[in-house]
Amino acid sequence: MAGVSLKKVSKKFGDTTAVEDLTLEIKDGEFFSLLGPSGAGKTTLLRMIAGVEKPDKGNICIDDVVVTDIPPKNREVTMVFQSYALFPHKTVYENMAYPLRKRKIPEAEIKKIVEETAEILHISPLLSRLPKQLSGGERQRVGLGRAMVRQPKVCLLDEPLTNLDAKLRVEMRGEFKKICKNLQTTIVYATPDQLEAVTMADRIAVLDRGRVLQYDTPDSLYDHPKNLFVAGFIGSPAMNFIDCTLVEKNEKTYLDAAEFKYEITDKAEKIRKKCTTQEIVLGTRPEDIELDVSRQKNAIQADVSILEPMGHRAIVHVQIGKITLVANVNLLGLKAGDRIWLRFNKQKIHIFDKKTGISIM
Amino acid sequence: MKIEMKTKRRIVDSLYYIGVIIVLIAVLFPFFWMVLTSIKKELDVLSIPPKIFFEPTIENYTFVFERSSIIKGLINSLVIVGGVIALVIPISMLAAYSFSRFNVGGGHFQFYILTVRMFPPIAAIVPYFVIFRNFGLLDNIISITLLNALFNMPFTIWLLVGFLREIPQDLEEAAMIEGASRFEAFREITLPLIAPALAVAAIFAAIFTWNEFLFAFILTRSEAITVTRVMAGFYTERGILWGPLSACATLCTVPMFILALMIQKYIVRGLTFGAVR
Repeated sequence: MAGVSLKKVSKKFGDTTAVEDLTLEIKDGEFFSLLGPSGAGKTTLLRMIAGVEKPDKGNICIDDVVVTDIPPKNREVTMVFQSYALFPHKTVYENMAYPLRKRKIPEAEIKKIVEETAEILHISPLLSRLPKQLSGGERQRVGLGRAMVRQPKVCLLDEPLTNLDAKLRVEMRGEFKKICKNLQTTIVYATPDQLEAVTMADRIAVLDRGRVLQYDTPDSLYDHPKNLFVAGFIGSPAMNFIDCTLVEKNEKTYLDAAEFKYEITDKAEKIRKKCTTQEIVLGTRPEDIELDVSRQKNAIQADVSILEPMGHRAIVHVQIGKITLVANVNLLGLKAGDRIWLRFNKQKIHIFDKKTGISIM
Repeated sequence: MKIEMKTKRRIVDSLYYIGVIIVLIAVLFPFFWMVLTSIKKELDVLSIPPKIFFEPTIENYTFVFERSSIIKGLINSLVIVGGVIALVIPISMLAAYSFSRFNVGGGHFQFYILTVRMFPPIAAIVPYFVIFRNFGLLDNIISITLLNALFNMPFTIWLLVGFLREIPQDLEEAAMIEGASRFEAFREITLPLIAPALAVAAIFAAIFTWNEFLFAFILTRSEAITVTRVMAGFYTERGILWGPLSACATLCTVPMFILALMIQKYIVRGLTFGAVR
């Protein structure tokens, strides 16, 4: 187990900046996720930690040792590639034995370790097969097995579940977490899927276009996103964003969204202090919107446009004039076209400065 | 409907087979005729209409062995081909690997090497003659080997770069992360996967070199004589000695035939590793 730290790391490929001035601390033994869309720089970061890619600027430390110039084989890291990178001309046994052979471990011990690992991953019957004879899920487990046999300091995983079909992905997510916990190494897991990251990681770094936007525990990212990108990326269905203008009328302050006005006099002081502009984005998560069939105090009138039932809850798309909002509520016997009244949970609204994208509260 | 489809497919299949048979005949016939001619008596060789049934004879073969330097030519050509393969394969492999994995020269260097292939050898023949003569390299097996190796490399490099593109770099990187040095990763992972391509490259280099006539004709005399030149010797002032020429040609085809058969096993074995992914 070892901590990994990246200090002001930058990497460019020709004209494209993959990673820019990035600093990150990954704690010893934690399950850390790199979350971000395609092109965010996750794979580049993993490759730099592994040592197959060298940063243009900055330093990478593993276990407080600067490893930036140390070749991959001496770093005691292991990596599971998105394609699994199984050696096609070697059997499953040989693939898993490879790291141990490179360390000149005696044959008898190799056999023991490989067989034990295969047992944990339920791939024991496949040991004499070639990769091309395996299914996607089996290949993925062999890739994981090869990474596990060595007990490395850091285990890097590049979107390992992406190439699996949806059902298998959900199954593997649970198994994965269990296996990784037993591994007792520091894990760095790259994924574009926020659900994977949120359910598996101790902490997550949200990346976009080579920069870290926020890194924190899943709960903190959910409750206190620092900017629009993180707020919109974490949580499913995504947070609703409403463009508003800060207006004052009769000594009360409102967020004017054209179709409705939302009073926020009690928070006005704070907003005015931190905001650089009158343009505000009001954010509210679908699960923080309350819907009622009868008119309530301070409720906003809306029409149901689409209803997606999910068991005893439903995803409801509502229209307030031109604004569409998504709410995640208990099934109320609603149907499309119904008139309903909605309220935002005042404790849970998020206010963003539209110009900078930064969260004000 | 079903029956119509079946008949249609049968017709298409038969046309396909007929086409293949025609091509096969066109390709194999000259070879077949050459072998036939080599066992015909002189009179039968030039008779019109061409004779298919005749009394076979080995007098052409005896002629070849007694009156030409066929043994020396065969040995020389074999040595040259061996030398060329020994030089071309390792050098091209490493060059192709460098181009493919490290992009040495940023694509320009690679292009430059490729353009050498487009260079008509005959344009180089006079300069090479002058250089070889001045350095005393004429009629020398080593210099012919080097020259053939040189002219074969652009093709084999280009071939291997193409094949390397099919082998994902992921595999080598995974090996390096798991404890291999760059060279070990190359030797243990890349090399087994590119072996069939190397066999193909070797065969091409061998055949090009074996059949090479121009350089051999201009730059060798009697010491470094090659099979191509031996065959050329059957064009005499008295006329073309078809019988012995065919016998010589038949003999000269045999080594390449054997080589192709030997290497074919490796190509087939390599390809059964299946998809690399």
